[in-house]
Amino acid sequence: MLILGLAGACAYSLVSLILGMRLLLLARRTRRLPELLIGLMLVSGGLGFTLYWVPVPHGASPLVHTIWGIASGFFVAGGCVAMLFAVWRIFRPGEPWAGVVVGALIVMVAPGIAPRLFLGSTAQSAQEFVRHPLVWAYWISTIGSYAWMALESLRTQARLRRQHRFGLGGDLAVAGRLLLWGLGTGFKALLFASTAVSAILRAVVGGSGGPTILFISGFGLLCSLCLWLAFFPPRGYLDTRQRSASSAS
Amino acid sequence: VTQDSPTFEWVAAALEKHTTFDRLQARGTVRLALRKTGLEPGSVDRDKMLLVLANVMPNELRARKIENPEMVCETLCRELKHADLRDTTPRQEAPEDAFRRMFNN
Repeated sequence: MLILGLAGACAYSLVSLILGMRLLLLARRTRRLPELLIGLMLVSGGLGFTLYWVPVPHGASPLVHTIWGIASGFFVAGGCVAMLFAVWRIFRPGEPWAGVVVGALIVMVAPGIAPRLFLGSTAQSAQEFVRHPLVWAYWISTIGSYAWMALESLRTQARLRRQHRFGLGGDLAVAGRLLLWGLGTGFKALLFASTAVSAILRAVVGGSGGPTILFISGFGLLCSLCLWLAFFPPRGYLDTRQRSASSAS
Repeated sequence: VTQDSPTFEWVAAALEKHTTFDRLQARGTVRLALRKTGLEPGSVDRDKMLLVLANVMPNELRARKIENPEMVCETLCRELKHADLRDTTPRQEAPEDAFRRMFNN
């Protein structure tokens, strides 16, 4: 179980950092916002998740433990904020309701940066922690931001397929890769949901939340696989899509 | 608020003129036809709208009990080809274009 957990965590950290850096380099050339935001989301989210699963070095002082925890929360929250702006800018530009939702979710994600700082003495035990409204707000915003990206991506790929069916263009290669991107971000939302369920189970039942680690690492692996294939699909897949596009035109 | 493209505005107004639809019905019908084909009212251009008018709109009009739907659509196509659709508003990039650039990097 430990090996599977490590595999999922390592895969997600590596894939996020590689794809994120690639997109940030692209953003430096193009000066466009979508790649900058998605790149920041992947790098920041990847760093935050890495700090979450990599243990603090042995013998580190309590201050290092605190900084480590805050850095992890800061980068995870930063990833969510970049993701929210990306969804707004790419899929819902100029729609005021989307701006309101983005603003609300950003406010809700803030407690995740330093839970103890926000919760203070109001949530001392694990049971109090998982019952606290700010913790639920954080969970809802992290799960919601990735789920929103997933839904918009899946909706867009379905729209492209409809266009293709009616002979109105519709790039099937992009549709297929958007499907993988949507599934990848959907699995990331499920990964966040699993960490929430794990925390609740640990607080209610006790123990280390063993079986939920399987879900967390499983979703981490699936997310990494989908994101990687979206950016680096097998050559055969692209050839097939190119052939079907040329036969349609 | 998201702006509809000049092509959408033009076709909705022309449909209202050539049928018994009121403004709301005409706009709703064009919107539904576009949704069915995966196009967006905010970004649809003349060429794609011509295809929608030729291939999808006749059935939409028939379903709404409009007489001679083929003739209405032919008229709309003919007039749309020569319509003055100058658009000065900057268009937002479509999501698929942003992702195409990222994926193909």
